[in-house]
Amino acid sequence: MVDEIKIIDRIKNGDRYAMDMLIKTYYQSVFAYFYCHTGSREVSMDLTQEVFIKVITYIEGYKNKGRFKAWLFTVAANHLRNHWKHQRVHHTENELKGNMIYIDSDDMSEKLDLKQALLRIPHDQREPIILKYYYGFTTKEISEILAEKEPTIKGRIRYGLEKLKKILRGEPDGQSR
Amino acid sequence: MDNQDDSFISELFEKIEIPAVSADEIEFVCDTAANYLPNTQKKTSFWEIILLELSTVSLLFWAICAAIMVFSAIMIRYASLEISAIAVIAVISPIPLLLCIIELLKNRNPAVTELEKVCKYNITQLYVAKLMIGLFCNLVFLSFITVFAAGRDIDVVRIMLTGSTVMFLLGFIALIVTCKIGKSLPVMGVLAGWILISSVFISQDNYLVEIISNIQLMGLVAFFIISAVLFSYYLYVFAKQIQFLRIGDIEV
Amino acid sequence: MKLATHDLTKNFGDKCAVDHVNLTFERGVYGLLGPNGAGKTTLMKMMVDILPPSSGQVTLDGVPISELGARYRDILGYMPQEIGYYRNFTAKRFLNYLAVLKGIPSKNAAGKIDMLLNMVGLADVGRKKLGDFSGGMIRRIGIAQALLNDPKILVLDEPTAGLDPKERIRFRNILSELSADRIVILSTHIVSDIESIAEKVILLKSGKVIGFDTTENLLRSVEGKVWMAKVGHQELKQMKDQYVISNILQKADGLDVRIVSETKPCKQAVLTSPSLEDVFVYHFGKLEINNV
Repeated sequence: MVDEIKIIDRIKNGDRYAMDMLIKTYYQSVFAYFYCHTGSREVSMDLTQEVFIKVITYIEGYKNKGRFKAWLFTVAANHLRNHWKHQRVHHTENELKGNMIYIDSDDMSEKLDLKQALLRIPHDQREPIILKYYYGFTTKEISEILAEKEPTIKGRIRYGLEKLKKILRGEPDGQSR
Repeated sequence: MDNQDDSFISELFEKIEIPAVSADEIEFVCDTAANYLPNTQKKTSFWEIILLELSTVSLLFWAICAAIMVFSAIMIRYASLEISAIAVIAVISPIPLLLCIIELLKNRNPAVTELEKVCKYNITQLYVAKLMIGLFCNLVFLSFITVFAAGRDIDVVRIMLTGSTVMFLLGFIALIVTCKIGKSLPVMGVLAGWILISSVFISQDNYLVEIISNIQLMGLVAFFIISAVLFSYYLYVFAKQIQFLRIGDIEV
Repeated sequence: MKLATHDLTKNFGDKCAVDHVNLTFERGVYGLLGPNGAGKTTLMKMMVDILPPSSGQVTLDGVPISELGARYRDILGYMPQEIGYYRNFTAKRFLNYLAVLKGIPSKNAAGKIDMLLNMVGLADVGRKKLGDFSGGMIRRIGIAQALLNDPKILVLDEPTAGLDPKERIRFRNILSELSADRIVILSTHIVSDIESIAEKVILLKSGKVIGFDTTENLLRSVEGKVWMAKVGHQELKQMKDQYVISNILQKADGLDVRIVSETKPCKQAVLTSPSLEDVFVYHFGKLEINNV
């Protein structure tokens, strides 16, 4: 942790080497975050690069308060939200298509893997689930990252998990969103 | 959710396959991000901007402020007791701040602001700096008059509070006008209107002065806080919008 | 660096000044070509973040410029069509004023300002008041201020307007020196300004991009459509109604006319190799040069 603070201070002073270290440390984990959400390698790479540009741009304003990783994911979560906003039409089409395939599928009993299942639950439920189970953030940290109240987050995780399990078991998810 | 579910999902997450990103591709991200590293060679402090703005304020502004200050000090000190010091101060207290806003608009044309807007430290900071200068001037101005008035057996705190309340309130109105119209003439109108109306009221009706003089100190403090909050809030709004406002008198 | 506009649109009331513009800029010189009122200035103002778009956005490496804020302005140089200045400032003081706002430390600024004044040929009037400057001199100050912070992205709105031919050549030389490792975008309605320096040309008409290509490809698009013919005054009148004329030269034995047309305009016409001006008239119809 102390090292991280040192590295960030060096980046604040324009140290390229420190910046490279920071990016290399966190690249995979930010990339995985976007990959879980989008399921596309190309899109995730673009989004990851953009998040690091933002992080470097805003780094002077970062006070060494709380975990850096939580701040990093706050930036990433905001960026993802903007990404969906600008691609809203595109996104809902995809989601619809996903559901259609699911409903029309002849082989209803086929079990899906988690990655596909994740893409079928609503974004606001998928987000806290990924942050909790993939990254191990506490619900308190998640509520800060997503700027929502803790009970809201807990509720979303609960509903999301229920839906996930249904999808994973191959049951229809009841279209309850 | 019970723990069994938690571990079940966690296990599934561990099995998710995330495609690999090569070291070269990450290196490329570093190269791109390097363009956005803080440039420690290029830093201007807020004080430097204040100093810069001080140097661009026209001499006329300082001259008018000084003249009004001396004039009102003399008036309070030597005028007959019928004119209440608090009334005089209430009338003149917002003058420097409003003059500062007028000066800011008067000497500027939208074409210059366009150049200033694309600078790293752009006009958001510039204008806030300028208004701070005006505010500071105004406080100096008020304290100066207060010191003079103190000789006449009046509560110094009361004078300062009344003066700054009026200053913040009128500053707030002037900022709204600036945001909405962006020209100096309406701000001049606000200033002229205030001086006219307040002096008519105060010279004709000592009753009003009495009311002001008899407001509880706590009441005055409350008014002061409300006006200061209003002004600060609108200064914030102004700073937020400024990048896209068309401001300045001189048309091109 | 990659600067891009995404469905960038600006409406003024019912009028659409810039209409869903999608462009991508990587290092090099880009010429933004279009007649007056095509939306060039509006587009550029949105690209330097001083005019909010009605919809769409401008991004640098994928991040919206409004979010980059000061970091974007730090690498940005902008020369507006109308250069603003404080009349009572000297050239040096004005440049110094902007240098502080651009965050350039004063110890570096003085040398930089002298260098730039030299570059635009105003070294000897650095201590004169801007109020006494001619229009051409003010425009050269405008170029100098845009270069103060050694910008990576340079946006120039009609940089050559009001410059005399000698100054234009000087300007072209400055630009070709600068263009390495930068994005330079310049708008103009004068074709010859960008013919030799722009690698890529954007054709803008009524707020829409109608062409975005390299100069060579644009020239190729009118190949076989540009004709030269010697005609009399009477014939010219007729021709003007029927065809798009790109240039007319007065000669002792008549008029040399340059015509852009899909078909052979008259029997004495011969095909000739196209110029960027022919591309311009082909897309925009009328030619806006003064020497006709």
